[in-house]
Amino acid sequence: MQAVPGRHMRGEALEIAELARQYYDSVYRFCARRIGPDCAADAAQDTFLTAQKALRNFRGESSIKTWLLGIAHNECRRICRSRRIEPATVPLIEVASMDQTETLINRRALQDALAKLSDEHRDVVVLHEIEGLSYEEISVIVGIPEGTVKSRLHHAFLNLRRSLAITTEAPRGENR
Amino acid sequence: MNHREDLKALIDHELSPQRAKEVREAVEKDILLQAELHEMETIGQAIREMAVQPEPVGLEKTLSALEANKRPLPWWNRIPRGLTLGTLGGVAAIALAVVLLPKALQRPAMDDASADFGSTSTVAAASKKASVLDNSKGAMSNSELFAPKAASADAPAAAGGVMDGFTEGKSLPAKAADVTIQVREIAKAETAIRSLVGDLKGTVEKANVMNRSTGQSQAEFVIRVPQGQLKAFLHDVKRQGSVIADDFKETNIEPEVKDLQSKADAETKNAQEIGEIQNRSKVTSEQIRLRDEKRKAEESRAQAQKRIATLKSQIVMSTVRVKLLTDRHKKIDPAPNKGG
Repeated sequence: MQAVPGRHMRGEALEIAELARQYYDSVYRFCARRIGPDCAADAAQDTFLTAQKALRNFRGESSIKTWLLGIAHNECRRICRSRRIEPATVPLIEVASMDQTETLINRRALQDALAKLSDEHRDVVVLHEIEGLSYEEISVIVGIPEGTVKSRLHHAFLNLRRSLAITTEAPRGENR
Repeated sequence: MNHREDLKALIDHELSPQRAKEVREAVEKDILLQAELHEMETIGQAIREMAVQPEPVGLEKTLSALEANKRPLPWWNRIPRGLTLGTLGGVAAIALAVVLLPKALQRPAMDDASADFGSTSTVAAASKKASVLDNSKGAMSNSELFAPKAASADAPAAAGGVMDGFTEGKSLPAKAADVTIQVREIAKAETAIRSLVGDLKGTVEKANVMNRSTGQSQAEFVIRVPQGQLKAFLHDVKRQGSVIADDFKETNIEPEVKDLQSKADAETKNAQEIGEIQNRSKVTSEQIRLRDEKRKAEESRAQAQKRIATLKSQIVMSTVRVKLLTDRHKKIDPAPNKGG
């Protein structure tokens, strides 16, 4: 069941706890992919503390998850600035896995290619491909128009293709 | 139109049906586009399959923090551990001195409420000073000890004392202010204002913050502060940014309260008389009619008394409407950004 914030003013503490139980994992993973697992718990906690204060102002114009990830996005940026974290150094790909030979794309090469992306491009790639969010949801979280989300994803994939140097002549599907 | 730029959106099903059809047809005709589409699908799939899945930790800690943040700690839990017995003794001595002063501190509090807006009472200044000192030390708020009776957050309860002065013929105006301020960051200004309100024993009755997530926002607050602290509060609020609009109102509530009191007295008498007639009447229909009339008189009296209580509270606690705007507020551009 999805909790509806803002409905019961006096039940605020109960509701935010309910939201935390329901969405903590999503928020934590989102933060871990942005600023690394070391600071993710702090960012996730700050996200829910901020949400606790802002809960009464939530109008339901976006989903609760999108609203929380929007707060988490800002918290991650703040922590990045204050702790001088370089988002490009945060691992996004499971490099240690043993099944490298079974895939067309090398894991380490993919991690390197993602690290080479600008922060803006990496953000939209992570939000869309890994978090599974729509262009509209990304636009709310990052605070940019949907057209910009589309454009950034296009350019991000262009850069990934260049970095991975996948040529159109190479045989495909043989190792998949 | 360039179909290449829409390949990713085609894969993600984010194109309109018409545009998707166009791009799909273009892809069928162009082998290079087919290759690019396939590469994008492969990369996207690889990212999804190979992405790290961090194991969440810290939920219990977060729940504890939320619980602790639910309401402020009582004052005895806010005393710093390093506070010595000597300091506590000093605070106790000051409290004793305040209690023992025979009504001397109550009169200035009332005088302050009736004084010109530009003046500040000694008690209020002492309260403010104590509050500032407390903030700098992080110690327990001494302003509770110094604050005049009129500065209590419980306005209706405190109003009785002030209204004693009113019935003696003193003119006690209700004061209200509207301030619009342009600030750099809404969140910072909000924090500062809430802190000020807390220091002055005021309350934030309404808060409306819009578009917080985008940073392009405005906020409106309705705040009640003790009338004696109004000047200090407005001064500090205006320092949060540049003042765009500033309005101050002062209303003498004496005539309205007198009218309401007369009305309440008349309705009380009326209800009593109707009750007596009702008791004497032996006709049922007449009894029902009189009962309704009596009820209406009692309701009317209750409304008048409620309004009097509201007016009394306005003497004690002034209402301040604060509107915050960011300098980015006017620059919202709905047009999509073309840049990558």
